Amino acid sequence: MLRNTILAIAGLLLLAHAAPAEQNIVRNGSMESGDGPGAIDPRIPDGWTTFGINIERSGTVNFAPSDGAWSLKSFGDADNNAAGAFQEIADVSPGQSVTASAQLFSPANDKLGGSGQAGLVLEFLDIFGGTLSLQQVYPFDAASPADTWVPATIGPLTAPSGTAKVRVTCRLQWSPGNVFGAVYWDDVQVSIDGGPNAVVNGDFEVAGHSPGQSPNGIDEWTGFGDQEKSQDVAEDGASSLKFGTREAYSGLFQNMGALNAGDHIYMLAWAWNPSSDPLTDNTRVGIKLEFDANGDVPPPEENLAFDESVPANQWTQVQLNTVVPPDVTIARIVCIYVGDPQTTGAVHFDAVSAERGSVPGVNQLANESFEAGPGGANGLTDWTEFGSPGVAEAQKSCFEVPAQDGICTARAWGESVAGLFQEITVTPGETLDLSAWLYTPDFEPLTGSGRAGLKVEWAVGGVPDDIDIGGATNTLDASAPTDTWLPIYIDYTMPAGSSALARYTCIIEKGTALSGTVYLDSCEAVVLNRYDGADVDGDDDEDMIDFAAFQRAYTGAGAATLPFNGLTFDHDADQDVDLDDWGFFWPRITGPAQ
Amino acid sequence: MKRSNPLAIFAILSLCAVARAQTVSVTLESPQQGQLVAPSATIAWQITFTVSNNDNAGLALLVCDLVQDTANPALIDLPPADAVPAGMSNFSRPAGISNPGENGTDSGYVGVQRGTTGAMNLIQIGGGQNTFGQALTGAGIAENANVLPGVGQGGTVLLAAGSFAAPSACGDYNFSLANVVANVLQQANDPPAFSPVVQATTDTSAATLSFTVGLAGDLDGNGTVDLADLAALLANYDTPSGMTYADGDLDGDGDVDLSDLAIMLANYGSTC
Repeated sequence: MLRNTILAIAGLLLLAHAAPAEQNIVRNGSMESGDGPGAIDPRIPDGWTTFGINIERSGTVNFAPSDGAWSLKSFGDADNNAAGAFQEIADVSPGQSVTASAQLFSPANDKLGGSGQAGLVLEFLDIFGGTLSLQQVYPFDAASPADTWVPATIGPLTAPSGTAKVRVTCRLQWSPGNVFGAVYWDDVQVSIDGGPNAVVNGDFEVAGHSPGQSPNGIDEWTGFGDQEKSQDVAEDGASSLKFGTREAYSGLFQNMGALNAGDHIYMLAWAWNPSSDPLTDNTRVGIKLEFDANGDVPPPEENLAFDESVPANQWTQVQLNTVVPPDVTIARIVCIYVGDPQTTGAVHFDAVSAERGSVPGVNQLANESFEAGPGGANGLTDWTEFGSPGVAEAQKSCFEVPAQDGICTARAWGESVAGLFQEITVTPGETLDLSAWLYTPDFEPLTGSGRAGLKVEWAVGGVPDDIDIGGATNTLDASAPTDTWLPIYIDYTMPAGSSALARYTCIIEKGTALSGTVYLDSCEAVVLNRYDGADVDGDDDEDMIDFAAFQRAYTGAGAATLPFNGLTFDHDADQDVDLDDWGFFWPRITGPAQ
Repeated sequence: MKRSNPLAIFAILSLCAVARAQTVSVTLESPQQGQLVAPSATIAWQITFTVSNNDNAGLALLVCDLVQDTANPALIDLPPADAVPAGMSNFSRPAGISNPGENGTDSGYVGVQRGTTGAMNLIQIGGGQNTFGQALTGAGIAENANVLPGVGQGGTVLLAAGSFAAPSACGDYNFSLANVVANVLQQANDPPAFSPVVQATTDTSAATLSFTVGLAGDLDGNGTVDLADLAALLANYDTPSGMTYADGDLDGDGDVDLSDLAIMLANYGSTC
């Protein structure tokens, strides 16, 4: 018994960090992406908007625990009193627990001095961008140690009513004329918690007749192999899922809906290895996150408004304003020219922009004025050219016409289709505003039925590889302690450009074992960045069914572990469901939706 | 973020290991159960419950839906239940936790109507106690932090009662309870300690209501008001009390008299 207890404790020590991870919703918080090095604005980190004069992405210092080699640098000037960079993030809802943090640094050979103060600002904004509340900390000043990363933290704070987004700002401020030295920010994060449980009947309390399962099967799940609902043991309620080893593989699965790039899912379950019939040999049991292709590709959209009717020798703007369709995660922005055998002349593109609704004011396109690149075939940096060599082409052109921005343009001509494109990451439902300036010179004016303009093509993104059993956190084997509930979990963030249907699977792999039983219970899956209040069943209301789950999950302050559905109800992310969480829950009871 | 204490986790998880079997038995009853009734006759219903003993400390929460079978000959809007029963005030706003009230009521304990107009069911009848050890005084919800222990363990308790008018279309009608959710107290503590709860198994084996609507005067339910029905009524004519619809009491006043005969004759020869 003592041995089992020690093993159990050892196992729990290994798994004790199975608390829900927080979701960092800052883009490029480690400053690894963007222009540089070392140059002053506009060479800024991707996703950030700068203010003031001396602010730049820098490769001079880097916060070591964070990957990469870059940080954000600022220093003062004589005429102003502040500089910095900010990012607005729309993935925040009222009542949500929000924490902002960053690391700050100043080198001994250029130490921040005078009246300079550096820190972090967190603002909650309404749908119109108005500030609902503001918190700021300035932990770094002339008295701070040199060559040492100093943390700055704000929160956790509860997002006030009306919150639509947050703005996090890295800010250096000073009294005019009284500042010297430089300060650096790195590892900027904004974290959120909460969300509905995406798994229905995750505690296996409701029996039923779903297809493909044993006679003792379980509603909402589809089963295969040697599995059944059991009342031998339970972590929550009176029932659990029992696996045997009669088949090579046995399990249950449940589809959870679509996940898109950046979605952060946390899956949790509890497993019980009975001493009366424990796992043996190389049997493995765990939870899997499986993916399948998600939806059809929506049709492209285009605006080919530029034709021979447009006067020569003047720049004309062509725009395309749209909304990213469901499930789409990648948009291909195309500068397109469409000619035919009767078309003559050429069209020049310049100053192309693509602005996402979630990142207002930021052009997502690189080399937007076609200045970079050696020219010739595929000679424009960041752009991919297409066409038919010798028939229709689109290539870099400098000094042929007066550019709208800089000195170069992209020139398209020919008797067929040609153009250039770039792909950007987008989020379903956000606006996407495209703009380009087009020009045809009088020495080779566009004629005939040729047209040109902008086009956007959509992609639903890639399907990530499954998260299979065998991982350190989501799998138990014959070495697992017996007769105790053990947490197993998957903490996964969908990679850039991905979109897929997600499936929660509980599975046992028999291997060569001849015996063994295991129980699973309290399956939860919370998409942490899709916060939905206290709506644990995800049906877009907060009613007595949600309250019944809240009442059961209530632990009081200082709980040892979160119970089933605690992932959803622990709004302030302090690892319990207590009066603070109840204070969040009760004002939001709406009753059942129609 | 606080770190979990593995020893404490182990102790708590060990307590969770044994499966529980707390049971809340819920019953739907009606005086018209199984009867032949006239169109527009009043159908009274009540929902009662009992809670198993020796494995919990009484009811903490109970909600259920009163739903009509979509195969019924006609569908109706089920009206909310009557007022909260005296013994259940701790489960309804402002003392307890229930859905927001609708149509000018303070509490949704009596159920809220949901569904297509003309076919609305009565959703989430009931409520829960404030088990959190703190009263939200003045909040209009959960204002009583004192948990009432033993609810449902001393005999049958009325959760809700109400009535509706039988539809006019003839035929067999079925109603039932759905989405029954019950929590029971593991132990009842005095404030400011909270009272932990667990989900209970629900027994709804007696949670159905059936009756038949027939033409007024169609005492034998064969779809026609005919000589057999007239003969049955006349056999009981002038009986002052204790009469049922099948005996000829068509107006529901307990006797069989001239008014009952007039109702029958108005439909005599009609077929449903």
